[in-house]
Amino acid sequence: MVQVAQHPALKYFRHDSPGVPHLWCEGCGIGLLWHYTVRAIEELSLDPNKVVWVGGSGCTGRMCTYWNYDYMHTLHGRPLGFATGVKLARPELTVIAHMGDGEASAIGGNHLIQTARRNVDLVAICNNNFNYGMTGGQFSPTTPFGARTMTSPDGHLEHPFDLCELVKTCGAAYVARWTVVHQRQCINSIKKAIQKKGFAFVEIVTQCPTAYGRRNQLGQGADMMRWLRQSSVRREQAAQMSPGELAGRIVVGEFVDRELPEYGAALRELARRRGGEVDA
Amino acid sequence: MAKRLLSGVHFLQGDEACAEGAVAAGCRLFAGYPITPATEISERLSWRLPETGGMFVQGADELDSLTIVIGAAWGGWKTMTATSGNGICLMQENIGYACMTETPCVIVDCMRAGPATGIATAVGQGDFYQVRYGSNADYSIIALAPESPQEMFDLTVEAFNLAETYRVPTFVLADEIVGHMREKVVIPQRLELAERKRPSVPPEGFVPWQAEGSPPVPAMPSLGDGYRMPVPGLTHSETGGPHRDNYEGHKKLVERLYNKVEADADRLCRAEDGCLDGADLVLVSYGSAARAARAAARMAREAGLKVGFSRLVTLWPFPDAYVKGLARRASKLLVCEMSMGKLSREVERAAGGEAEVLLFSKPGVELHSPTEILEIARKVL
Amino acid sequence: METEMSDAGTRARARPRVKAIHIDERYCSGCGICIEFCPHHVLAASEAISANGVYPAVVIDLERCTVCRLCELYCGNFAIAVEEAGDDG
Repeated sequence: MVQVAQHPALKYFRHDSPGVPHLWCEGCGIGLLWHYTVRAIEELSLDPNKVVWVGGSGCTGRMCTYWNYDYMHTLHGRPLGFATGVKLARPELTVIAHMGDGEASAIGGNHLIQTARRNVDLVAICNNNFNYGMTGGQFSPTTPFGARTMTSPDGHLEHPFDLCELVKTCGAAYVARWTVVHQRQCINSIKKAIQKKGFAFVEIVTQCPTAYGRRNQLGQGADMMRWLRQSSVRREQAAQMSPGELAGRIVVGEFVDRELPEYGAALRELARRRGGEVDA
Repeated sequence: MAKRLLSGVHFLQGDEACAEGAVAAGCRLFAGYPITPATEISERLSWRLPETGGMFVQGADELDSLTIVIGAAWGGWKTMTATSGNGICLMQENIGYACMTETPCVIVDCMRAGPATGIATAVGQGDFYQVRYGSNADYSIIALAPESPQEMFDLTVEAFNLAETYRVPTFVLADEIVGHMREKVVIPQRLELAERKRPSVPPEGFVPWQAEGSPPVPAMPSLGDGYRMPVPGLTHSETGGPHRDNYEGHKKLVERLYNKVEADADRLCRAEDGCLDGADLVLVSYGSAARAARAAARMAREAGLKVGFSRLVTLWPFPDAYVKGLARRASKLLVCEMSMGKLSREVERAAGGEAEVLLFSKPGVELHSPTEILEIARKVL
Repeated sequence: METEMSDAGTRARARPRVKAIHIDERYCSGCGICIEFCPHHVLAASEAISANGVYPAVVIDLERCTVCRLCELYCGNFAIAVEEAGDDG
């Protein structure tokens, strides 16, 4: 069968991993995030051979395995560590790490805060779908209080991180949050993150209809995307709202955009001061 | 730019000599976390690497350190970390990942007394199995055991060469005494350095995980070289795609990862022995314990006792054939180690019943003294 | 919610016209997101079940399509492609 036109994401897609075309569930938001990342790369006219995707575990971890160029599929919670190593050795490459919410803030919490604090020139995209999807839908550090998951059948007892606040405090150069419904904003923020010389963190809230959605009666993919759209409120508006009004809302926007000394550049400068030349 | 190879005669601490070995071998990035008795390696590299065009990173912990080491290796660099036994514990998942992705890197373990926090400033040899079998499932690594600052230099260089050749994490399994003692170190005028095999075909013809040659390892491009390189932690086919419930594919990969080193045990065997002629008893040890054993063997010979010694330098892959050879020559092997009995288990296995294997165990803090060993030798002969 | 349009799909002055919308039934999982979010109700769920065992999206009124490409951006399975008239591919 001759395909007259194919979906624009497929130009960059590696058909060597399980699933048709991939292993994500119907209605899942990760495919959208995959495409947004690829759109950002394309709109910046980057050579895909110079873009490395780094993933960890879980559904989000699999994103890199479909990227038809260089990728490292690493260990749960650790993409930022490996990504740091790659970027230090090859500063000319764009290194993008996709992490799930649990990956970034539970097991990967220390890597997240340290890499942000060092301000390593990386793009860190956190796919926040409020649970550990691949393993069946257990709670994570971003699961809302009271939510039902496979390990909180009576309602979640813990309170979630505000990942953007966390990363901002650690000293990142760029921090933004959108939901996957905000297509243009997601793509623009990913572009800014790529161009930013420093640690750029973009949290994108997506739907996980199979696990989180089902346990909390949020419906299918389309229903959950409607819910994401209705729950979102822009940062500027949120600033005028009371905590009560903000309950259950998702605050979106850009939170930080600043210039800070970058880690790899500092190490290269140190070498120069000592008489060595790293890129000789 | 400062010289990478400081040819000449030096008086160096073992840790310092190890750092020099790394720089001499072409190490471009070191990431490590302070831990006694390996901290001095980090400290020296924090200025030796920048002045030779490299990078020093102090990781947030040992685990963070090894992830950075592995990432930078995929950027094309020779990389190293150094720690003690407790740090190796934290690194285990990453060690397995380095094995699965066939990432060349050097890991120095300056062993100390344990378990757990133990005694930071005291010697031990309890990580013998940890470096080989500490991660999940099956894989292989190479481990070399220095007994002096000179060997800290030489074997660190050798570790880099082996890591590049076998595409495997290679351990320098030192101990607190070797790491902290100071001795003469001669750094030569020239070194033979090995480099990882790079692809000989353009990207279109490259099959990323197809092994070739001896040892059977794939060619290793760097990320960013245009080879669309898949680096997977999952069991993978030759094209890099994940296998699912595929026994044959999984078996093929695991067997290759395991055997690429194990099958070369004879070729990789390095050992020093002496006083073996007509020996009834051979003292078997490694690292600082071997210094005592060597002295004990000489004292024994002077006293008319037929005692020989063998110092293993390559610990993994375990030199089965060599140890069996010792077992055939002598009726007894006395293993002197600073652990409850790890080397002794391997020696017993490899001896295959051809000699009686005895253990003189001191589980850390105090080194065997030659006199103690001699006394035991007298008793067992 | 604001939706800023990408420059990538527009041409200078002329309003874009659609040539065809291709839906790959091997990939379509029947999630219905494109149907729900299409601003002009171009798509609907097929009445026939596909080989994948789902009701994929089908085009019901091509004329209404403005080539906004929301469906492409919202398709998590990369199953839908909008072909613009005058596209060279």
